[in-house]
Amino acid sequence: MAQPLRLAAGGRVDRGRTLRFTFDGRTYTGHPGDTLASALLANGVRLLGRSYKYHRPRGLYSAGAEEPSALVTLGAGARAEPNTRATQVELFDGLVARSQNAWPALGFDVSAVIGAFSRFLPAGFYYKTFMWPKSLWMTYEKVIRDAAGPVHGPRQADPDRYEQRYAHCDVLVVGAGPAGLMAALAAGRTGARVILADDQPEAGGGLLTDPAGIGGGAGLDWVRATVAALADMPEVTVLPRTTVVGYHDYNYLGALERVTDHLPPDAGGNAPRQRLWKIRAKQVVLATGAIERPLVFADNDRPGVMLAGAARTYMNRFGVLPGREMVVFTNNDGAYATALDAASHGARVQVVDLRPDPRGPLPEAAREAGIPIHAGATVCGVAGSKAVTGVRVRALSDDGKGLAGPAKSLPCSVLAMSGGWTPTVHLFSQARGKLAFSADLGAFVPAAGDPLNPNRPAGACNGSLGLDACLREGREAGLAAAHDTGHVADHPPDLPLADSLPQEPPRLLWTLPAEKAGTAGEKTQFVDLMGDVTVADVRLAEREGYASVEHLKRYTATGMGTDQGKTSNINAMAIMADARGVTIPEVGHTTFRPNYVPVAFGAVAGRSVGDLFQQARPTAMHEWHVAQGAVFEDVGDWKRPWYFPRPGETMHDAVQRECKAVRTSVGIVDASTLGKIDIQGPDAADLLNMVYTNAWSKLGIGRCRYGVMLNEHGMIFDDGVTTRLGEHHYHMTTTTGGAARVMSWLEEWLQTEWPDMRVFCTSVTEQWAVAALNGPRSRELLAGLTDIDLDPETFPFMAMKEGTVAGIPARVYRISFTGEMAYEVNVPAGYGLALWQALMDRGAAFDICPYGTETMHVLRAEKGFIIAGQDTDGTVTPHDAAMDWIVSKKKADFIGRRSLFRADTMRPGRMQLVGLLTEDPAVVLPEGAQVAERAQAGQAFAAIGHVTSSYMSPNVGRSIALAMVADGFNRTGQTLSVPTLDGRVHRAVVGGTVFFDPEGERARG
Amino acid sequence: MAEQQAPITAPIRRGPLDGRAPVTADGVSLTLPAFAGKLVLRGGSDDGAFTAAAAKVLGAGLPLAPNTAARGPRGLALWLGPTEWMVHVDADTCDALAAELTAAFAGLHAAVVDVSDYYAVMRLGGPRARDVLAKGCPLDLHPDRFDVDHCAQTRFVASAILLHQVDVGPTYDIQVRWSFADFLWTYLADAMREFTSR
Repeated sequence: MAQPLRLAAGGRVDRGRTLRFTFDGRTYTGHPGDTLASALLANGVRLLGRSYKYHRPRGLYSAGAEEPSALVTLGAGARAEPNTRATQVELFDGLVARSQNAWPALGFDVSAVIGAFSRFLPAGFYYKTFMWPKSLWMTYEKVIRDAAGPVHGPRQADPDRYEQRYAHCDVLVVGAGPAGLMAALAAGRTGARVILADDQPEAGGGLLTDPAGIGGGAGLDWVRATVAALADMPEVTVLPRTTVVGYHDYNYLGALERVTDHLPPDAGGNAPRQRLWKIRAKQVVLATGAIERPLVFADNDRPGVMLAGAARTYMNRFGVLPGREMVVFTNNDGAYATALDAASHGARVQVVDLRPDPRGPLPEAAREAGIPIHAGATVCGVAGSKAVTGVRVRALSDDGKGLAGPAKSLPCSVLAMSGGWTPTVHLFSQARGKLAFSADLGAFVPAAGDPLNPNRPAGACNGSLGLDACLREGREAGLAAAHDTGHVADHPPDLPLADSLPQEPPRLLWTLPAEKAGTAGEKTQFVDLMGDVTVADVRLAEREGYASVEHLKRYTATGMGTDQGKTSNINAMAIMADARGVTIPEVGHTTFRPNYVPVAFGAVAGRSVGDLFQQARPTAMHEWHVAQGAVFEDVGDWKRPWYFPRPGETMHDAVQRECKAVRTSVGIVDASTLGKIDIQGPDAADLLNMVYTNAWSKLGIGRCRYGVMLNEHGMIFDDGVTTRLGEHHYHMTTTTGGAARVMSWLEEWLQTEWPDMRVFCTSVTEQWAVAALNGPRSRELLAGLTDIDLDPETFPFMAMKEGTVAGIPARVYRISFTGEMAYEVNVPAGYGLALWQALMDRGAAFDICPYGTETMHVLRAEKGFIIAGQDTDGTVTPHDAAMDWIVSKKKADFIGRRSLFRADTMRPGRMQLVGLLTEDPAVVLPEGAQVAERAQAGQAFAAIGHVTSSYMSPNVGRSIALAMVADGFNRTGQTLSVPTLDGRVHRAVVGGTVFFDPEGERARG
Repeated sequence: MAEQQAPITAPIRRGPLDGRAPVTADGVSLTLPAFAGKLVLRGGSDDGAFTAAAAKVLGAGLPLAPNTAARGPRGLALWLGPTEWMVHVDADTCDALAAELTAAFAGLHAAVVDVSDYYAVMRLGGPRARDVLAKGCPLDLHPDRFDVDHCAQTRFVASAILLHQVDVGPTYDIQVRWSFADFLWTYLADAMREFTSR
């Protein structure tokens, strides 16, 4: 029979349409409005999975986000999503779900025998049993993991689309139950911008379960009218299927919207699967409701044992009777509503109440309905393993700690239990709110919020469980929140009257006596179903000294599952309090952390995946480089040509050829990525004098100068050439990677230390495309394309002239990073490609050679030019880098000067930059290799330095290297050892850092 | 051969997005406005001589209220900071305007910097433009907070942008560095996909 437990009428499901789905390969049917959980229940499917540690049969426990038990793998292939709570999955046609932690089959699970040996797997078993011998830990872990069953994330790329979105509002209301709806309505009436987020597909919250009346009509009619009123408010946004998952400082909240999860795959069109909202709210109303607490008794994890409120939800919202024979087991009045509803649907119902004499209106109504009530009694055993078949009930001793009288067996297929309600304070606590323990509720409730995160808990979240209180607090919170954002309602909504019955207090017994005494009984009393934590585990933790709440959590794994212990934490704390002989508030609670429910990595990444993961910054000449087959190097975000291989060439071949070509004819390199800063103002030279170590006052207009920047510690952090363009006008260049850092550096000093300096710094990095011609024939080549007089008498080395190149307005700088005669042609970036093409066309007659960053690095190393960040590492002064000449002896001050003359920075024997020439000229030392005075293969050695740059230089005709070596300057001529990872030890002789054209004549020619 | 002067044809000036076909979706489109000259003006908001000189040349005062733009006969001025403005002008008149401003600022602590090629501008317009921007821009773009001729230096995901609301459409001009233009265009086009019916 299809859906044997589906009621003939009632609930929010559309019986007119039938949806087909499969669970573990079997096909079932359900209806729109069902969750996977309600549809399975309607079909009488009780056994939904196995627990991860003991492989105990598990079924449906709740009807909401708190579900610790009914975890399934949803979907298949690349879309498979493990550990999905069946209670949160909206049913769609074609849905595929599988059970977890069971092998070979759910009904017969080999590992379930582990349950019989559970004494080997107590709390902390990871730490105790398998840590010795240590070398086998990896093996143990793998076996344990595999035994846990085939719960695996898919290995394929996620085919779904996830988006993100920022949102701003005056008032964010979390939860669309009676309190949240009332808050949103009240705030909305003020004209405030309101977002109302709720994790369910339709609003109503508890009213979807409890058919209480509001304002003289049905509660759901009030919900419908309120939702309609909100829809008419242009500044109100209602987000169904949206769980607020994280509450971060300054009222920044994350919310996960399941946009198309309720549709079959690919049925959502271009809408994303999920959307992560990043919400800035001036005020927040937390109407997050409450979660029912389980009772802790023997075998309380059997399929068929569920929360009483959930059982009622399945009847009233989903039109499913959880079972035709029901025992309701409670410590409070509220669960009697479940009993009454089940009885009205024809179920045979009995109630077991811990309280000796329940007398509230609901118990009285149950009595009138003829429902047997076993007062002052407890369930002490559950019959049936894969499905409940009955319970054993015995009277409680007066103190509630022991059993009295004979056992009665009550047949049933469902045990609906209620240990009271725990306010859902997760978000309040994430927002730094302080909690206080309410002895009446037996739970922590909001006590004091943190003004950093203005919010108001309302309704059940605030510990106010009655419907009238929910509406009243919601209205007050909504109006007050709007008021605090400057919005007042001319016509605030009236507070509707609500049906609310008074309730007698619960009897809080945190563990119930078991028939088996001591540990044997406690091992069957489950506290945390997801973590398979029993009362015995909590007591063991206490005995072994893990008595603080934080230790309890980590030692037993209570609350560490994906449900974060929504149903288990309070019970675990209470049992620990009992074990320690202290109160629950003395034990305290663990920290609530985002996210409230698991969030898929896809949603966290959003669209920043694949090609959109990170920008690859191209220069204006990029497409030419691509067309010429350049191999690119990532430099920061930039794509720079690394080398230009010709057909058949290796990288080594290409670089050697490029290096030769530059020094024999002419090469061209794209230097556009260098940082560029326009500096103007009467105090510009003063600024340069402060940020560079050398003197700038006497630099002539049209002249260039190299400078080194130090940080406050006297260490090199950037370098570059700055040119004086006019009286008070300079053009600074920085390293490619340092561009943003130097700009911030200048602004920081100007804004914080020297606000009186009249200087403006403006980034112009990408305004200019730069083609740098290097080589003895560069002048000859350029001469044919420019109106600038290139006569070295009037346009010498380290000078700049403006004119046109290839008809393009250009600034030409005679500066050189290769030691060759060089002209760096700067044109507006829009002309970059045209310039490059013109230079290449013209250069054909000179065998012009385009080269990349690798050749650039070799050529500069031949000249001993440092690269800040490669040869220096934040611990290198100019003196250490053999650049004493760059430090002015005359200037009164510059950044880093004081540090530069500290005893330690002046100390002899510091790490110093030297050249290294290997005894075997063919050996290219690896960069980063350690340098020793004398090392032998296979022997330990004391490192005295390391190689910073190392290349095969075709122009020197051998390998060359730069190294930072302790007391390097005094080691000239010494032979040092460089052991490498392949076990060899190379010998190298210390020398100067300039390997080519030491007189520097070539650049000046 | 080498001695001969190569024939010089008029060099081609390009932008990073040249040739991009507009991207359209339901209620939003991404297009490429005509290339504009761009000048950064530097000077003090509280320097009367500077603001007067700028107003005289531009034919309209610089916007002094933070994050606002002002349109004048010579172009559009966008507030970037208390000492910094971005001026968008017709590309053909950019050099002349820069020269005039530089001349007018003689003797003042002020600066004119041509950044025409540094940045590209793309235009996102339509009733859904706000929804597209919200996918990557953390600013509150509600019309009560950000309206016509408001501007802001902000970001779209990882790209630093200068955002300017052009009209109530709303239409936004989004200025971004040359090297980020392709990435931003691609990201925006992707963000619009949700609003295509295909």
